[in-house]
Amino acid sequence: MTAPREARIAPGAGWATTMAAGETLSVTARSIVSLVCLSAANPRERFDQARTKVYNMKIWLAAGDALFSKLNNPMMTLVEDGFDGAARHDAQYPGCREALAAALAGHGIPEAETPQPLNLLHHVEIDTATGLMTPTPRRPAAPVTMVLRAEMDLIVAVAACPGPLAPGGAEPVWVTVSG
Amino acid sequence: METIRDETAPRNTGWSAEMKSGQILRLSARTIIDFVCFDRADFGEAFDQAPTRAASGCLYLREGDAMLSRGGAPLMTMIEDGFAGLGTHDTQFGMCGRARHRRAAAEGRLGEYLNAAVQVPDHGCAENLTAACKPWGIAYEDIPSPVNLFQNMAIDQRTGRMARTQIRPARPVPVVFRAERDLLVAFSACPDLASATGGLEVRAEIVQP
Repeated sequence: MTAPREARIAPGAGWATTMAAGETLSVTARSIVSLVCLSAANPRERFDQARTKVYNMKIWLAAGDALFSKLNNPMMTLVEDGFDGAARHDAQYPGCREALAAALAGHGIPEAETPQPLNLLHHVEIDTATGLMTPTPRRPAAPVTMVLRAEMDLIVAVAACPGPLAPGGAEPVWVTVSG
Repeated sequence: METIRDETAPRNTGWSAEMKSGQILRLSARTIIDFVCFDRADFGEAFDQAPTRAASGCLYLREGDAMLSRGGAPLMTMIEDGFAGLGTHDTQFGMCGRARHRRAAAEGRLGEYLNAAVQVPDHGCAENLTAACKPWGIAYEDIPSPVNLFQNMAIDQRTGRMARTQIRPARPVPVVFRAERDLLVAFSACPDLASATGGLEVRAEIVQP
């Protein structure tokens, strides 16, 4: 089977593909997008929110930041961030687990092995003194593009979240893998 | 009240125990504790930081907050926090360990741990929790990122940047949890490279109310 290179992900649905180290994944959307990745060589090596935050020493992600695995290896780098300056991406919330798990099932990944995702375009206000988090409806007015470079051979899954706080409700997400 | 276990885990070692629903776990320390729990009937229902934060709406685990499983079930509730008012318990970090320290050294980032006087150990919480969970057949990949008790972080409001602090209790204080179902609980007495002590022992008591 040839790995799919592009898709329009329907609102609420998930999608997964494989990509090689050095390839880039473009994600274009204006509502919340949950994204996870697993090592293609060892799918037990999975994206990890905590290791990612430790490595970047930040509670949210922006252009230049790396996505890390539980095994302390860089998996992807966010190389272009169309949301930068307007708002931030979330690494606190569970995101759209069912859609990600359904997409990964097609790659033989059990539901229990679906890691907690990076939630693109999910802007959460955080009071760092109290720790209190407030999800906001802040989204791009028009679709913006995030580009992530694979740092190893990967299985990636992307979900077009039915984010209840999005102004327009669930919206489609466009994904493209480039060599 | 019946004390089921009363043990002390030395610095930079792991500890684990089974608990029955309703029993109380009291962890007393003045050092970082990497703490996890699993549903005894289904180790896949492990503690998970993300649903725990989503339910509490908070980056820090506070008295009254529940520790939730991957599937969103309450596993434990923090019923007493001896650190309250002094510092916060972290739910951002993972476990320290050999791989983490090696990468930090290779990238010249060991200085982020603040206390250069503390020697970097050959193992840390990842290895300690792996050893503690091994008797139950749970591999490192399936040990969740923990609640890091007594790990007080300074987080910049504008940039979101995190920095380790040396805020710890002056004397051992308890953090107390109630088991909401039958559990496996495990922790690592962290080598706490940021602190002045480089890690200390942790006392663990399980009580049947």
